[in-house]
Amino acid sequence: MKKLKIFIASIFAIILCAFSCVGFGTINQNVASATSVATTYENTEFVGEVESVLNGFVSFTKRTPGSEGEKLAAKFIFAYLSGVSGLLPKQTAHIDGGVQKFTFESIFSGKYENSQNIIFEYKGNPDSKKKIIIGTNYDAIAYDSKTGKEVESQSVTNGASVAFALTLAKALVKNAYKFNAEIVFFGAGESNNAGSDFYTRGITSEEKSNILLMVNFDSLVGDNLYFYTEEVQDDFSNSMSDLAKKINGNVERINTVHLNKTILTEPNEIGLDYVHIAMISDNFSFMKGGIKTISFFAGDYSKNVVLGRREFAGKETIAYTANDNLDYIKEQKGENWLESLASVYELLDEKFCTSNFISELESVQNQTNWFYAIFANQKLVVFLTVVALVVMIVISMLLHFKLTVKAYHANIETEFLNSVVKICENVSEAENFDESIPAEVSKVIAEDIKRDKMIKPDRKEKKDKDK
Amino acid sequence: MTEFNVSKKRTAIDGWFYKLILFVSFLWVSTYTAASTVVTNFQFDFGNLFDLTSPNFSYIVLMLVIEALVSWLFFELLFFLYRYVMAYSIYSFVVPMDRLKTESRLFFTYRNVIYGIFINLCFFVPYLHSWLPFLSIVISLTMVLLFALHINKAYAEPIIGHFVFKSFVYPVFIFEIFTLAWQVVEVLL
Repeated sequence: MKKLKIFIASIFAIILCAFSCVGFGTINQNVASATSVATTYENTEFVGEVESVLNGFVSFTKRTPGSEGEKLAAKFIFAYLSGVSGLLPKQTAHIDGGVQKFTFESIFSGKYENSQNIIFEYKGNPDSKKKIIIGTNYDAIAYDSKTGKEVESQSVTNGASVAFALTLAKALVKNAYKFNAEIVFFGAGESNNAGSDFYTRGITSEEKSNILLMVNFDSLVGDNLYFYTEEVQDDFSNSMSDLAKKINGNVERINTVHLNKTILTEPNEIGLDYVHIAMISDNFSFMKGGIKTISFFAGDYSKNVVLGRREFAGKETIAYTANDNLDYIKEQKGENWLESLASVYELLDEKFCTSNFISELESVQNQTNWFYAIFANQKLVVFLTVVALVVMIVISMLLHFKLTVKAYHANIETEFLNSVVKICENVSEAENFDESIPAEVSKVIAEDIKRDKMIKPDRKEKKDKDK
Repeated sequence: MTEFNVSKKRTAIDGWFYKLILFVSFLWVSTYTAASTVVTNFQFDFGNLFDLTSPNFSYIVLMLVIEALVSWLFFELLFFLYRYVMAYSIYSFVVPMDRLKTESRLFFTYRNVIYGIFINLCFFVPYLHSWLPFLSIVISLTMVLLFALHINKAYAEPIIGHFVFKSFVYPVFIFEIFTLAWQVVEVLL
């Protein structure tokens, strides 16, 4: 009997250990098992992991900013990151165990709602304070195209970014990159980037100088894959473009000429008076803070000017609709649509592995400051406009002086009479000529000429006067 | 029909012709702004801007026409005020009124054509847009000076040339000074 009791207790203990939970509650999820084996992620393995995570994440079909569904999605992300040994939840005065809670005014409900950012750290170089940030937002919203009412949706366009970022976080550890990184999942991103705005507001200026790059993922579902850094090229964007061509993948630097620009009534926070689709994701919160960013997104923006968001050529956009699901996307892109994301991973992996990755970022930190100093500087434009006006006034005064000198040497008698006749003819109709007008006109012009001292002194009169 | 009436009719036709080409020049100037007023809306797709088969192409064309019409009407209002102010100077009557109207519209068309080149360059270099106020003032005032010199050469005797020049140029410069002062206050505040 005693032996039987010990046996049952042992079985019970084993069962308890097997079902032990970490972090937020328990969730029915399809989470990949934790691993601390530091072997490089192959592309196919990476994509397989992304697919596995995506299949689990899209089960949260109502991730409206500030909702319970968004909170459940946050728990999923937290549980996944907690299961990766080598990643630690960030802990500061405002970030408690990897969770940064905040309140925001929702553009959907019009009320103040609560959300959270999930923040984990990877210390690839503990001796250095420099780091990069890898981030994306995990909330989503969808509407019925006919009724305009909110509907449940897998929101795969957003889900793919989350799955990619989660898998990349694991790859940081697995590939043992030699730099520090912070992995941030922003809440309430659809509500004017509330999560990323709150996060960046909490960064001190010293911390900001240590953030070398923010890698953002936004809607990785589409015909083509692009990355966007800034409005002008610099050494970093050029090196990324060269690397993208070298790996023969399908990721290219977006040619923003093809993107529709929305002109703003007043300049935005980075000083530009327009915005486009590559500038509206969470990367913009970091651009506002003067932090270098690279944002990956997908779509069909390859030719002419494309208005609005477009994932697939010739098709209506699927983001924010019920069509944003795995079945529809597989129909458009095929069963193996996720394989294209391998190019993004390959590009980042190649870049992260370069020996001068951090030093290159340090050297380009202020490289594009001249651009904002010239093209995003309203005060400079107004100052130069004032200068231009003053120059034009001076030119007009010089022309006026030249005409005055010309008038001084004019034939007073003949030209005076011609001017009077011309004015009088124009003032009255040809058929109704009033003879009193010439006298009036002559009087006005004569007074003006006299006042301006236009009459040349007569030499003979002057000699007589001197005598 | 008397020679005077024939001349009047021809002038009227010329007047409408110059109004038409001025309106076309406003279409040219408004292209970038009209294309950009279409908000980057995530919920639906407008398709390709140059896709003539797209059902929303007519929307873009309508936006362009409305934009140009508003600009043209605003110009005509300012032009009326300009003629009203100039009438206080007797030297503005050196030029027959119909010729004044057509010549003014022609020079403003030249201004629109040149300014439109820079505006439409924003399709390729969008950050040039913030410098448009500077370019606008340079191009506009240059055209006003050229217009005044042209009027002087064509219609004014040298003895009153500088008076005519002042009459045509000063109202525009005063208007630009007030506009710029307002801009300076907006930027500083």
